[in-house]
Amino acid sequence: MQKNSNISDELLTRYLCGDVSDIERQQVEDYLAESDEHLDELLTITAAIEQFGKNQRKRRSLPVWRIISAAASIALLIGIGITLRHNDPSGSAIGIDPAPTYATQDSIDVLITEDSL
Amino acid sequence: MPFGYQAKRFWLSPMKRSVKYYYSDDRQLVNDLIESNERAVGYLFYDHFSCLLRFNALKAAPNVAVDDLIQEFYLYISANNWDRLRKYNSDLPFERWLSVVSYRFFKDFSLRMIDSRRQIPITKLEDQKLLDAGTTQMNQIMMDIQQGLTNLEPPRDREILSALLLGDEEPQSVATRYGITVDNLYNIKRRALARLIQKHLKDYAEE
Repeated sequence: MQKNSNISDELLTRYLCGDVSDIERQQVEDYLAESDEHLDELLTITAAIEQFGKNQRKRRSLPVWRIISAAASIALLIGIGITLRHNDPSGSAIGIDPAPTYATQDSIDVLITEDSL
Repeated sequence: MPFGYQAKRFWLSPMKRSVKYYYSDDRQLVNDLIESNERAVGYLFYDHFSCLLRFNALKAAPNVAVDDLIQEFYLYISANNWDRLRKYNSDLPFERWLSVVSYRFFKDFSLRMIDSRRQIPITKLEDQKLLDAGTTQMNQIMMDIQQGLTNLEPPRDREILSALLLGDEEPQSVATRYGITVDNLYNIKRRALARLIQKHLKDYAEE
């Protein structure tokens, strides 16, 4: 809004970014020097930006409790897997096929003998 | 009721759907807003930038309910096919632009509301927390500024600001010492503070 001030929103934003010419800087500082209200405006806007930045950093960093709960979940899953495997050596309880039986030469010989009889 | 007080909060439901989404590019966000993308609208008003808008609303217009102000701000920047937003220069950080535009909008709105019969709104607990955190941040900025006074140029500005902020001297006696009027003294003080606040934000961004 530019009704109650004599500098534009864009110029004030650029001032906050340090992206102003000397003349523009003078213009903004003239405006800010006019009243405590204008200076309070700058201080509040700055505080809002910094508070926003802090909140974002807090949001993006992974909280410790999340890391711990993720590690605990993984450990629990591994524990369940080991327990099931231990109680059921065939592995069928956790979806593993029982160990396959392979034909040996002896078993083939027995079959041949039985057939020929 | 003035200023769309009874208007439906039609933007509340799509906003809630936007939580957890993250825009890494300000330009993309602005483009999506201009297309009235629901997720982008929610991201700006309900999720990501909500604390910035609400804090500015609470500070600039304590005489108006925050939700009403946010709604009015939505109507303001989305009016005429997002005309105000289209003027945003994407070379500038969006949150800084938004902070300036929203604060000034809320302040202006608050001034227009002074003569109305509206009562001072009750602040919600989460808004009170936000207000407290922001006020603490403002105090922190002022404390940092006082600690960083030694770097202020020119020396006269530094001495005047030190005398007023730290020495707790009477403005009249400081003005007499420097051979200036009290009005001039305050002018110098505000200019010096403005430069220090700007420097503080620059240092903060570089951290």
